[in-house]
Amino acid sequence: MIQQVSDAELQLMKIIWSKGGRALYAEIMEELAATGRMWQKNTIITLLSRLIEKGLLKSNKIGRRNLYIAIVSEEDYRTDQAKSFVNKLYEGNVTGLVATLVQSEMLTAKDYEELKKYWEGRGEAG
Amino acid sequence: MRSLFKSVFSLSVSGTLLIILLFLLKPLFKDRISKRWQYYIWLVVIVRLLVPFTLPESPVNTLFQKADRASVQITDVSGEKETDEPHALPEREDARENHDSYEAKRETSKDVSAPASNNMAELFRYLWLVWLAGALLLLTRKIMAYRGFVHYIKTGCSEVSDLSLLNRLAQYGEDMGVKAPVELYVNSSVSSPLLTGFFRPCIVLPTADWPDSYLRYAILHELAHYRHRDMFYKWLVQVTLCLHWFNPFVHLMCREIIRACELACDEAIISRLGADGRKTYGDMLLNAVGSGGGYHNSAASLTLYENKKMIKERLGAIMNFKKKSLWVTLGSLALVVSLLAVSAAVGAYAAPAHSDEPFSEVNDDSTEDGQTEAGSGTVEADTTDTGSEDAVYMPKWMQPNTVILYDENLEYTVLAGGELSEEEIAVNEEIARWGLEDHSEYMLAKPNTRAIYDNQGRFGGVKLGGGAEPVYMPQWMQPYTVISYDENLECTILEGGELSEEEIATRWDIALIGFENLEPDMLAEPNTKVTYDLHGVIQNVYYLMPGTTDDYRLAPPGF
Repeated sequence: MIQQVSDAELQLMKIIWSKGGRALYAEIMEELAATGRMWQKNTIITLLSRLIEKGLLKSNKIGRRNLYIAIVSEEDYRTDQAKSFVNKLYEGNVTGLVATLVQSEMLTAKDYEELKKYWEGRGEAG
Repeated sequence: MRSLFKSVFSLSVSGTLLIILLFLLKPLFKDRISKRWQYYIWLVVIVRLLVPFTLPESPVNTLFQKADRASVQITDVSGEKETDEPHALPEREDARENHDSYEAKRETSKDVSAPASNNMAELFRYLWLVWLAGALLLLTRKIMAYRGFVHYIKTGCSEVSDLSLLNRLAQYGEDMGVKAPVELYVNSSVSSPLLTGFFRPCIVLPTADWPDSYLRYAILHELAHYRHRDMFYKWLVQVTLCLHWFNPFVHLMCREIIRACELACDEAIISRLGADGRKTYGDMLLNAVGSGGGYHNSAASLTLYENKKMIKERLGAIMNFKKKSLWVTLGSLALVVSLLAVSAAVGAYAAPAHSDEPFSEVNDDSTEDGQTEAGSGTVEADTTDTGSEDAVYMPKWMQPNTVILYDENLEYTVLAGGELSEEEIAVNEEIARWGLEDHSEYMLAKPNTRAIYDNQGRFGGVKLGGGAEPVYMPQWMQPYTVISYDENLECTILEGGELSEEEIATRWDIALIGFENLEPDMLAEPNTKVTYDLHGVIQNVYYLMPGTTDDYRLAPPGF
């Protein structure tokens, strides 16, 4: 199970994922600046080190610049997070989650149709 | 190693003098010079405590050299200057009791006379081990405690993920001139905000729930510690403490340095703030006290506050803060320079070259080569040269069993044995160990005397009388015999007598040791009386005082 990451760290991961899982420090800085929020240089460095420690990133030095490489893909991360979420709140039972989604009207009829097609499609292929 | 301990001990003595001096001066400069100078001035003392530099004539050095010499006189019986006793004969007497050690005693040149001083020497011999054990133990404990602390803190820490706080932290870092990224954690068990890490700084707060302004000053305080490299200074102090663990003044100094550290840190921040900022800073300190947990380790981290008692002093310093003028800075510099001068003048122990034992011969000629003892690195102090350039000294080394005769003009002729060749000198280990020359006072040549050398070729003493023909005292006589030699070395038996052939034949000790002894130290001297003990072995030689006919004393006239 992957350790919890904070919102800020997740934001950094998303940037790196959006760049194909590899990003230079300078590129990350650029994207962050574009968000309009203030990010101090040392803050970013600290957060990146934390991600490295948690095993989500590794860094390579290219000359004098740092390249950050995602070890965990976005898909894997989502799966991992979803699993732990379902385990924690629904005792591992996905139907409970679906029931919540439907009842809270987060899942519309249209969404349901799409899901059904997707599910049956998988069944044929598998 | 023992010399190293003596060096350390002497450094402790010198350091203590400086520490006392600084504590005495403290009331004078406490409010006058900046806290920063008061913090760094102790570096002079630390250097004094760690580095054995000295001037040869410094008081501490002379003190220790005197101690060296005093103990040499007690323990050394090899024919170097003694106080009153003629040297060779007591050895003989002891040997008679235990014939096994007889040969051994004749071999070694250093034997112990009185048992009391033997115990003293033994005690000192092991003192350095106690010191070393204490130092290593203390150092190990400190390192273990440090690692335990760091581990405990790290496991209980949670990262601060609040982006705005992290950004502010980065901003404060820039304000303080700290380039490295600083980690920020929260751990409710620490007693106060602290900084750990020598190269990768980590600030740990007991809680992030403080008002922004308080957080700001707390973080600035920790960053200031990092900026000033206080961690390194602190550990330098710890190492000094380990080396000088036996010295209570050094402990006092350490406490004082820790206090000065906090005050200097406060000052560094206060000096950039206006009156409002200072008030808030003080409020922050007050608020910090009691807001954390109980866990702390003074050696492992730099904190916002070490102990609550100091808060009052710090608050006072904050309130009364005044920027110091240039004159004050110059004055502080002058103070430091004069302290350095005192530090050098006080001095430390300079171990003589080639010394391997704690109370080695101080006679080693330090001018021989520039080599200094490993571990002391001192300027060589030639403290034993008493004579003028023209003085004639008896040679320290000759061929084994040499006898040389000094005439009225202090020129010598070789009666037996001879001088050593250059080659022989070069390969001789003993000479390399103890030094080639000895210019001590008692090595001054005297006219109409003979210098004798033992079977190692080492100087063995002086015999009176200029006789070219050697006359030897008999080794064995009847018990309690007394004989005398007149000025022509004619022998008269006053009491007792010689042994008969039969007696000689039946004695196993004579058979074992030998009947005749023609070694240089058995040479007879004119105007002496020789007594023999209950075994018939030489006991004492008494010398006739000049101008008298029957005043015999144990010491030769003029020695």
